[in-house]
Amino acid sequence: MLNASRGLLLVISILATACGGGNSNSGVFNFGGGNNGGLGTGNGMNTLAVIVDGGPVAAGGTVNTLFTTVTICAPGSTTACQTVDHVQVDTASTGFRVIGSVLGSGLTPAQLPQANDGNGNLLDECVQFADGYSWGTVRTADLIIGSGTVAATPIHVLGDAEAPPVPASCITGPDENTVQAFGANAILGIGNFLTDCGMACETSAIAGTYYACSSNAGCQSIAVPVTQQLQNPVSLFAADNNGVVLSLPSVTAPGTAVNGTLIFGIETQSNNALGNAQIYTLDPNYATLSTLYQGTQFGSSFLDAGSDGYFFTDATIPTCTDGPAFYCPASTVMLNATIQGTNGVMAAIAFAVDNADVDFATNAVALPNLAGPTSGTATDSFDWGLPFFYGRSVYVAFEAGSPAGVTGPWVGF
Amino acid sequence: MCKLGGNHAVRRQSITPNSRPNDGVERVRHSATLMKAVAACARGRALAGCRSRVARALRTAEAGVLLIAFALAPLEAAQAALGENIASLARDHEALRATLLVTPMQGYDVHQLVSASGATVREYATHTGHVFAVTWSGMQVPDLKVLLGTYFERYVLLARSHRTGHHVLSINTPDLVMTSIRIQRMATGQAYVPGLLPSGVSRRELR
Repeated sequence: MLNASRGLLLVISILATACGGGNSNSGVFNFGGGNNGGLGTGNGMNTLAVIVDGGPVAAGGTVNTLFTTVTICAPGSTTACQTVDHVQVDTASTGFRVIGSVLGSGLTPAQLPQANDGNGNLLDECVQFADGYSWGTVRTADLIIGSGTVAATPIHVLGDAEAPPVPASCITGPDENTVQAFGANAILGIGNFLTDCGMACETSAIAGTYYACSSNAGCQSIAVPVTQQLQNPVSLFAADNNGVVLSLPSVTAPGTAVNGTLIFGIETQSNNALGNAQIYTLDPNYATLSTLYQGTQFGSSFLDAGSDGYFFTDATIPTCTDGPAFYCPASTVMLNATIQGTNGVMAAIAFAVDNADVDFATNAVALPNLAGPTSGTATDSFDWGLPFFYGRSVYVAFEAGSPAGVTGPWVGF
Repeated sequence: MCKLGGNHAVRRQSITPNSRPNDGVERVRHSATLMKAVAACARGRALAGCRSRVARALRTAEAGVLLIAFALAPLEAAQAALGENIASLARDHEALRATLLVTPMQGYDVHQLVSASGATVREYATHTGHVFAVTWSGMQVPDLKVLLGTYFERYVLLARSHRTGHHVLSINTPDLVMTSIRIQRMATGQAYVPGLLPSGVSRRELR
C-alpha cells in the first residue's frame, strides 16, 4: 500500500507531464491494450491502470478480479490522505466502498465526517450482495482516481469500528466487513447508474439500504435523497464523466497478471471514441439486456466486470463435484450465444468453457474460460463476467447522459 | 376441489392496510381470518367456498384485529420458511401493501406475494402446505433469514467459502440448491430442497 505522499506525487507528476498536451507519462501506468476498438492514444489524462492479479494478501487469492488504486482524503485536505490498492473495479455496482480496517495509514475513518441525509440524520448503510452483506458508516471524502477527482462525496466504510451494531434487516447472509471476507480492500462501483439506490430510496425507506442510527433508538430505515446517496464517482468528474471504457488485452490461456486500462468518458477524447463498437441499450431500471443461449432467452442478462466468470444455466454441462459452483466439462467446450440490447442490436458471441478444476490447479490469476452454473430458469440471467472483457474494449454508458447520441444506460463493444 | 393441472383457478386478494407512517415506524394489519381462509383454499377446498370465505374475511379484515409495529421490509412479514408449513402464514404478520395470489398447480400451490414496488416472492408448497421451494425477484434481496428458515445457516456456511464474487452465488448440494443474483438494482434467485420436491415436479417449473 502506497503512503499518502507518494500517492499525491504520482497525481502531481501525471498532471505535470500531461499539461503540455503530449502523450502519456513516465510509465508508472501501463496502458496495455493497444488499439482495441479503434482507440487512439489520447493525452493520457483520462486513463487509469487496472490489473488482474491475485488480490490483496488477506483475500487469500482471487481469480478474474480486476483491481485499481484510489486515494482517499479528508474533504479539502492534502495531508489526511491514504492511497488504497486492490480496489476492485465493478461495472455492476455504483459507489465507492472501503473496508474500514484498511484505513489508518495516513487517514483514519474518524477524519472523514459522517454523512447525513440533509435532514440531520447521520447515515449508516447496508449493502447486500449475492453472497452476503456489508454494513458500515457513510462518510464524506475526497476521492482521487487517476487524474479524476471528486470532492466531498459520500463513501461507504465497511466494518467501520464506529458503526453501530448491524440491524437485523441488513443481514441476508454472511458478513463481508473484512478484506478476507470481501475479497478486496475496497470496491469502485462504476456501473450504469449514477447513484446506488436511486429514486426508490428517495421516495421510501427500504430495508437493507440506508439507516439513521442513534444510541437510544437503534437503527431505523430511512429514505435518502439521491443527492445524498453514494454516487458513481466517475459521473462526478469535471470532464470525461458520461461513462467509462474498460480495455483489457486478450487472455488465451490461464495466466499471470493482466494489465489493462480504464478510460474515463465516451466520445469525449480521442482515446474513447466508439470506433467499431456497437451500442446495446439496457433496461433503464435494471441495466440488463437479453441473451439467447441454446434456444433459451435470458431476459435479465448483464455484462459484469465484477463477476469472475460466465454464469448461466446449462444442464448439459457437468458441474464440478468438489463444491459445484463451476462447470467441469471433461474437456473445454466451445459455445455460442447472442447478446441483444433493448434496441434490438445483436452480437453473436463465441466463448469457451474450461474444466474449472483444471483451471484452478494452474494457480493462475486470470482464467479466460471460467464458467459456472446458475440453477433453474427462474433467475433468467446470463452473467457475462470478466472473461467477456478479455480482448475487448467495453463501453459502459451512464444513465441520463447520451454518449454517441444514444441515451444511457447502454453498453458497447 | 380447486382445479388442478392446466386449468388452474386464480384468486387475487388485495390487502390494504391502515398504515400510519408519520411516526417513522411501519405498522401492518394482521388478519388471522383472511390468512386462514387463504390457507384453506390452498389445501384444496371447494372453489366457490374458497371465494366466499376469502371475501368475507376481507370485509372483516377492514375492522382490524391487531396493529403490529415492525421495522422489516414488507414482504418478510407474510412468509413461511423453506421446509416449513405454509399455515405459518396465518400466524405471521401480514404484508404491508402486498398482493397475495395463490395459484394451485398440478402437485403443488404457488403462493405469491407482490409488494407495491413490484418485488415478488413465490413460495412453492405441496397441497398439504409444505414449502419446498422459494423464488424471488425485485430490486432488493428479500429477508433470507425468513425465507430460508432452517436452511439459512447452510447457505451462510456455503456462501463463506464460495469463489464466484459478489454478484452471483450458486449452491448445488443434495439438501439445498440455490442461486442468488444481485447486481446494483436487481436481486433475483431461487432456493429449493431436492428431497422435498413433490414427485413429478421438475425444477424447471420454479419461476
